[in-house]
Amino acid sequence: MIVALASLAGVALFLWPYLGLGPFPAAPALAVAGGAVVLLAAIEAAARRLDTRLLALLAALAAVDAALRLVLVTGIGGFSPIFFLILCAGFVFGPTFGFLTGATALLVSALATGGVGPWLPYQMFGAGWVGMFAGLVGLRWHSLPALAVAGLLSGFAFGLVLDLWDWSYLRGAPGAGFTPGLPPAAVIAAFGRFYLVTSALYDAFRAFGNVLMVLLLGPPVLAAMQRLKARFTLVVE
Amino acid sequence: MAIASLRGLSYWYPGQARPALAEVDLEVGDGLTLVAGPSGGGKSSLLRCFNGLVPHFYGGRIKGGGEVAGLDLLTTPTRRLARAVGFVFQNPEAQLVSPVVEGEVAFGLENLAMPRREMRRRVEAALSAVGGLALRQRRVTTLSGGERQLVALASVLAMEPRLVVLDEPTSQLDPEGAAAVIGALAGLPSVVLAEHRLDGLAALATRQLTVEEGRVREGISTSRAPEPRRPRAPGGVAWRLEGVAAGPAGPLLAGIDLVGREGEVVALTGPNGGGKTTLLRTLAGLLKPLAGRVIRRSGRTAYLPQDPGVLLHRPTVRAEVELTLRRSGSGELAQVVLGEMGLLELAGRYPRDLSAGERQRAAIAAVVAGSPALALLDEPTRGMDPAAARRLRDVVDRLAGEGCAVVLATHDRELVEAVADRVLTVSGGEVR
Amino acid sequence: MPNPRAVAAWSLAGLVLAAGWSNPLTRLLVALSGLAFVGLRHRRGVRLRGVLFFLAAAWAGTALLNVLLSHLGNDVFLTLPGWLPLAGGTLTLEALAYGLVAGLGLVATVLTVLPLSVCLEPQDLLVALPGPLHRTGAALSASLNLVPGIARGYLAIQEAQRMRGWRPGLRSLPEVMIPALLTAMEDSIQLAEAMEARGYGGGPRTSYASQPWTWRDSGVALGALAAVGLVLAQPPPTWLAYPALTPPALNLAGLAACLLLLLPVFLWRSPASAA
Repeated sequence: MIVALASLAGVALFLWPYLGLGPFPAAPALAVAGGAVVLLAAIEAAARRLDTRLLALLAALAAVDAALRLVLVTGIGGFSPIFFLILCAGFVFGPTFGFLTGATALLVSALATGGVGPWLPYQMFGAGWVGMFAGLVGLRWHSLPALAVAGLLSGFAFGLVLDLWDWSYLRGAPGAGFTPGLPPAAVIAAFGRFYLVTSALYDAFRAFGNVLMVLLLGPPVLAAMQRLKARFTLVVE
Repeated sequence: MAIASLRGLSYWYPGQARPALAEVDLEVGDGLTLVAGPSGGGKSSLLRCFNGLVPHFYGGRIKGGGEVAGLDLLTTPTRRLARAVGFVFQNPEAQLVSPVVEGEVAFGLENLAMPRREMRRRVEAALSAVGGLALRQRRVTTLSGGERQLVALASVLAMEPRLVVLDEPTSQLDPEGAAAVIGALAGLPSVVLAEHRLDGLAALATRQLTVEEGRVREGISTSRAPEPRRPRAPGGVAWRLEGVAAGPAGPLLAGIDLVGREGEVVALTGPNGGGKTTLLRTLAGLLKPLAGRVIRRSGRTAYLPQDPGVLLHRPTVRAEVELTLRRSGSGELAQVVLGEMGLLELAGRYPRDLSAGERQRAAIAAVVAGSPALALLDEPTRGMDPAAARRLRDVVDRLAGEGCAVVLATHDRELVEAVADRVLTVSGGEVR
Repeated sequence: MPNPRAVAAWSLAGLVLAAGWSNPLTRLLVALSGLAFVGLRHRRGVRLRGVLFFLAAAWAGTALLNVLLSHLGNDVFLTLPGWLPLAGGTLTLEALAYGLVAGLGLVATVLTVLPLSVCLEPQDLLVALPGPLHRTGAALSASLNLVPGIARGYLAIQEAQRMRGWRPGLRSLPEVMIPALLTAMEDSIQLAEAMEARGYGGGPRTSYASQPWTWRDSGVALGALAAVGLVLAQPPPTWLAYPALTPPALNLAGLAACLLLLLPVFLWRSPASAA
């Protein structure tokens, strides 16, 4: 519920530059700051309901992701090892936990690697949605191939969504950027051009990297998470 | 008067058919209660009952019950029990939570929502109680293992608990660090301490317990005297360092000239950070020498890193050993190596479900399998119970007998006396 | 040490200036003051080369992209054959200039937020979070303590598996990744256990760490506030690239605002982390 509300705010954060509102000068700065505040508040509100063990696991998964980013710095193209754990966490512990893992993983790794930038709230929402998506998939189809497909789709979707942020910097550039007042079809065509040129190939590395990691590393990591989940039942005789 | 009491307590970890603790009846009073027993025997599980981590953090199945400082163990959450019981864990790397030492010591007090002024007083008192006031402003990431454990103890003492429980707090430390931690326990009213290295501790203990196969009994059986050494006849040159300078970032060692022979066991001793591990890694070829030459006789090199349990990733212990055998093309049987390390019963288990000590044995079996020509072992007895340490000594003897050149870096004086043909001290960039 | 909240105020002001108007001169000046801040006042052990390289690449990339996709403008400097998808057609100076200024906006916004991560200790930033966020902040801060150990462990596992006959490759990746991931997860569960054993979870918390607010912090924060006030009262002149290039101009208020953003360099010393 909290995550759903926060996600709505997230959608607004990504789309407001394209809704034809007259942009007032301080808007971009306020959007970034506002997005960050909404996210932190949502994380806190949702984390408040978590068992300490899950909260610590959440923080820990974020730390592991940060360490992976330190060690493997960047992969090839858009491939990044960090999505794998986010996918697994969502898949095993559900959509809310998946969203939290995604958002905090990006936050902690940005803090640990000195990568805090104005993109951070956008990335946090994007990665949160990846985890949420994996959680929803896990509720319906609980199998490794399903998680691999979720990794594939979310690999592209993450890039597509984040391009909405990149693209806003080209606002007003005719042909390349978003120009207010154009019909929606033309806007989508322009965005499609931008996406194909800048990101499609790059995102393919992320998407297929996710699939590969899920298939190669998924079973033991999912099993370890399941074992942790098993701790949540206590029988007193 | 008893501070803690357990009554008919049995406990099963999730999904396990065999109980980790079986029908335990126990009262703990003032003084130092020393707990010994083989790894995997239930020491850690017993200790975790005192602050409710078992069963509240681990889940599973429990029967019977108990009380600590008047609080019921089954109905009081760990965070409430934490006010009465302080707990220091084995792993110095994974129990500190704050960036700076004083914040670390205050963490528990923050959780009690204590006012800042009172926190300052308690932090200072706790740090000075462990002799660690000088560490106050240090960053946690810059502390040595021994300093980390002292800080962990101070953060527990700051909460002024009735009972302090320590689970093998010194097993990962060098002798200096271990002595500092044990020394800091002297003034405490009630302590429960599990440890393998008992030297010096037994004299302080007011009571001794052994936990084996989930059952608790009074007394600790003292270890047998080591068997007499078999003499060795070292063969030709197996490895040689010529004017070697080495270090992970700039030279830590310089001008090293050393020779080792086939069938010879060389022990490296010296303080942490003195260059033992650097020397081993250089010899293994993992670290390129900054100057000079490293010559190794042909054949496989077995390398045991500190904390080898982290290597394990196969579904069973046996599969771990078989992987190394297959890679080395050796005809050796997995069964033999497993038997040597006392792992036949555990061969079908998932390695990561084992206790820390069992895991270490599995990793050693996986590393030394396949008749290596050179075996480099970094702190092989760290965290080991006496029985496992004896098995390790047998393995080293066997390897040397087969002509393998063995180099081990260790603080363990018993191991050095039992197996080493030559002892070198690595300290301050020099080897003597 | 600068107070994290003062740094945050500075960053917000920088963001307003850099992203609010498409004036090339304010963007340039904001980017330069950000560069001066992170360049001269970053904490010890931070390497900036990677970030700066990334920024240069992003800047060049944005400009190139706009030149290739936006074919409008009067000053044509090259015509690409029409059969090229998307890029085919006229390339104009206007598109290049617009792309450069758009890219400069990206660079400037990044540089205004960068001090939060390179001039402060990450955990201090978490401590500065407002009270209600402390519980989660404490968990995140604790997890940051694990990061160096996990990274070191990964390298150690790689070395040790190599000695067991492992060779790098796609199919053997699990041999290093699985132990590394599982060990990291185990360590973190242990950390959770340690936190629980010290009373963490549920209920109100207090905070031990105090981050003093000095007159220097006040100076930077007031400077940031004044900078935003100045540009809101007298916005920088608009700049147009299309249909024909106009020369960039800057008013006095804009110049003064940008200069105020240089205050951190003068007021704050280099934060030295305790060795």
